[in-house]
Amino acid sequence: MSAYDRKAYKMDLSRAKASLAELMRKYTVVAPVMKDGRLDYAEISDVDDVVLDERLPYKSPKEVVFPRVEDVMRFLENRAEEAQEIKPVLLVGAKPCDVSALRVLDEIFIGDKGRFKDSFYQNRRNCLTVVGMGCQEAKPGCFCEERGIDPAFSSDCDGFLDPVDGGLVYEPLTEKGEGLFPGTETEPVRRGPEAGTAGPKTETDPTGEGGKRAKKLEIDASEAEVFTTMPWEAYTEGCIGCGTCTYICPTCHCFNLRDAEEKGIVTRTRVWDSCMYPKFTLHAGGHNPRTKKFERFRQRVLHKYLYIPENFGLTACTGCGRCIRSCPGGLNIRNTVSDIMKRLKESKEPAEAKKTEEAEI
Amino acid sequence: MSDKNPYLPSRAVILEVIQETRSDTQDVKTFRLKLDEPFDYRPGQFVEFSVPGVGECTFGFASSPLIKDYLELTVKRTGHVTEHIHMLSPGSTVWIRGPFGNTFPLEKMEGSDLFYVAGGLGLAPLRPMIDYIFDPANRGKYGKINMLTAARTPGDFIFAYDYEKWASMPDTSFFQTIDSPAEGWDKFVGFPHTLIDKIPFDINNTFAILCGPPPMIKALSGAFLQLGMSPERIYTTLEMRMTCGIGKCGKCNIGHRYVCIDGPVFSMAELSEMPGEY
Amino acid sequence: MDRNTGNTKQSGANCGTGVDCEKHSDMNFGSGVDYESQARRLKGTAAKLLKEGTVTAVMGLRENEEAGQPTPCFARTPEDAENLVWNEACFTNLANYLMETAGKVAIAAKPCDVRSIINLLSENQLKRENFTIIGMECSGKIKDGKLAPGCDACPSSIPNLYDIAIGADGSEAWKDLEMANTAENVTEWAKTTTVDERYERFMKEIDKCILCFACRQACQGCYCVTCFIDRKATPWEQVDADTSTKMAFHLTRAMHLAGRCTDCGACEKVCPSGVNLKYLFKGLSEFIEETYGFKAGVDPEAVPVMSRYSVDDPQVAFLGGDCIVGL
Repeated sequence: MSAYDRKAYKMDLSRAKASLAELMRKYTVVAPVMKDGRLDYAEISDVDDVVLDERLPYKSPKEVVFPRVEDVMRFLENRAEEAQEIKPVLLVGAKPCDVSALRVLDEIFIGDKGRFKDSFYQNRRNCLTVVGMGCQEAKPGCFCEERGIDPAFSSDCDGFLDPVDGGLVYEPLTEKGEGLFPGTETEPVRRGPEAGTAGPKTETDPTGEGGKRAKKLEIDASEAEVFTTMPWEAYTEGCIGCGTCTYICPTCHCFNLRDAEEKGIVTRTRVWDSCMYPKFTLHAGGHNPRTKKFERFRQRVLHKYLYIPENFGLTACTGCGRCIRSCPGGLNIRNTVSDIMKRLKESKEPAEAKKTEEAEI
Repeated sequence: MSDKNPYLPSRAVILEVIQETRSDTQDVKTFRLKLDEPFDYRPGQFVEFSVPGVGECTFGFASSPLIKDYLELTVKRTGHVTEHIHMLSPGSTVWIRGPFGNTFPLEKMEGSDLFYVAGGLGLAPLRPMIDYIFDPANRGKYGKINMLTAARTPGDFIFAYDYEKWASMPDTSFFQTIDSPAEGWDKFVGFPHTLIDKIPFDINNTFAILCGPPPMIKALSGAFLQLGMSPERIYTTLEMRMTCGIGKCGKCNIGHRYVCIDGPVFSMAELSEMPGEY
Repeated sequence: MDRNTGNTKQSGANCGTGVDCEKHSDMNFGSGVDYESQARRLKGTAAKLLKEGTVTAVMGLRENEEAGQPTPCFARTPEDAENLVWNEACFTNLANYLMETAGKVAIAAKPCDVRSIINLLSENQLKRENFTIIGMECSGKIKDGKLAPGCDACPSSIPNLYDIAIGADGSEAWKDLEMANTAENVTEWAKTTTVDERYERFMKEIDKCILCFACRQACQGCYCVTCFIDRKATPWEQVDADTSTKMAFHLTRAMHLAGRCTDCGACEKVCPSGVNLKYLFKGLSEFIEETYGFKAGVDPEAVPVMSRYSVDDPQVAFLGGDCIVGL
């Protein structure tokens, strides 16, 4: 579909807020709001609380499909049944890194490459509509572009909002996204190669040429090549095992199932777990395959950059930078992966490197 | 892929509880259950067993899939959930979901001899395959069968009531061994990996099927490899902490494999390419 | 950079906190520290120790623009020592890493970090001869544009224990700076509020809590191999991360820290949700000090207050006040 076939709608901010207020009657609307001085995705009760600008909310929006704590099942006399409370949810203002992360979760939980479909995730995903919005500014720690994500646009959502002079332009991208934000018909905002510029301008990339970035940041190797040969202890030195990285990450999805009985009814709840916790892999008999923190960080990095790509076809990291910004120990997944690739390259081409060195002298 | 929610278990009733061993080192019971709606499974697979309000655990099937009236699961009392399971009695309702995991490559093994070596509780996940193959409909497809089962002391053997039957099967040799000499014991003494060269078998036409504690597996596979067996002919079944059983929650990762999807049955050839995190 | 939003604000001095430095002098954190000189001296000291082979590593902090705060750095060669920084944003407590490192190390430690080290020494979790303390004089650090958690209660700019002294001007002499001393007295607050008001404050804070246990991980006093909350004998696991488990965790952790908390503020510094529960520990510390005359983190030889018993101990029991329970 060329740019000229797509429809978009322009509206001013007050019109946009009025549309949101209407939508609140049909959906639970989750959008960025300021709470105690911090920007976060949250369920809105007042449309004036919504902040639609270039800033990335602190936490990821994954709770719309993967809540921190969720009753999923209950046991009755003769059967076990689903116990989720599902309502239609509209996520507005999701940044491209977060939209891509939802796609990663979709592939893992309900995609065709998995042998099973996670019904609890599916139930929530069916009722979710996503409206994206771009970032105009990369922040320290962000590396979405290195992950091949365009911070200004994502086509993986149901509709996309672009701020323009005097308001917003809304472009529906799927059937679900039609009619959400009515306005004056207009041409969709030109982006990327269509607009003649490669990508958005950033502090470190003032001409926007970075959009043409050549090589994506991924681990292009087998387990055997990186499992024991890389300096994992050095990468993990400052880790205190707090698990903040996994909580704040938009693609982390490890979980536990817990039972509780109250007044004769047993409810099974799904709760987040973290591979960075020492007891994540603790067996009942006392054996624990990952007792050292570098083993756990290695699992986290390789799960995202090797194991999930191998099993599901995509890298489970969207470069949002949240784990890097929030880690009190200074761990940095981007630098770790980058260092691994550098070492692999050097180990494979020592002869080449030496030749170049000699030539330079 | 069916639309059924893979997290919802089916109801079953305990028909019988068999005390297998009770010693200082282990307390093992076999639970014979009947599912309201029985399902098919293959040797090597496992189920997630729920005690509502307490939790869920992974157990490999312990009885042959050819038995339609019931299925058996063998449970060692180890932690919180298994302690509650051990308190259940015939008539109790339990909840099972499955079958999950992969299966022993029975077709691939046809025409070959088989050598089972099991340590302690490791005999349980092998029993579905053992009994399936001993069934007259299948026995003829396989050659000589050697069975070596190891336990710490004479009182620690599980399924002891099956040994006579197995020993008398066509073209089958059955051996037992314990760790150290005991009064009245006239069979093998010593760790299994020190005994395999005392049992005659065709190194070129045998599949070894091993199950037991990791150090035992490592020692045994080393011994077989040293005798010249190909790593593609040595199979084992792994144990890992699991939650979902369906490849989502990430707990059972060993390298890029999920033990609940790509396993729990693995060949030594596959294991040698996986990181040692298990 | 504002770590919450990721926004960078340019500041005059390069202290890495993203706050306009002109405003600093308005805040009562007690100026008088020449960070450049301290940093220079720290780097020199680290390089020297590493070159001499006295230690295998020097634990300090390095610049980390992406994280928006200096993060732990383990310098192992004299060249590595160049990466060490020291400025107003160096609020991280490195004491816990002493429990993980093998061999002899040196640690750049502020007065609050040293109090943590002293508590660990008094509880036999560290061996004094295994590490060298490079004491850093400090009158308070800055986090998110204001005084870092714990700095408001710090009694002195001089550490209680050290091997090498780096004073406020970078020399070996301590300047004994003016401290902020703006911390609330929790006991007084408790006396002037109703039960409902105190409950409301607690519930407001734990409402933000996501039970990630970062506070526990960062705390010097929390070194149990298996934390009570992780034990499986009773299922404490996080079924509902809303109230009952959170209450159980925080109140029990506070009780476990009575007489052991050194007011370093690491718990609040590391919390990703901005939960402020330090006041619970401070309230208990005030009670312990008043009742038993004991303060944690002062004397490495002292027997921990909860590990000793004397028949003369005041019997301030469950009923509170001057209740003497006789038999």
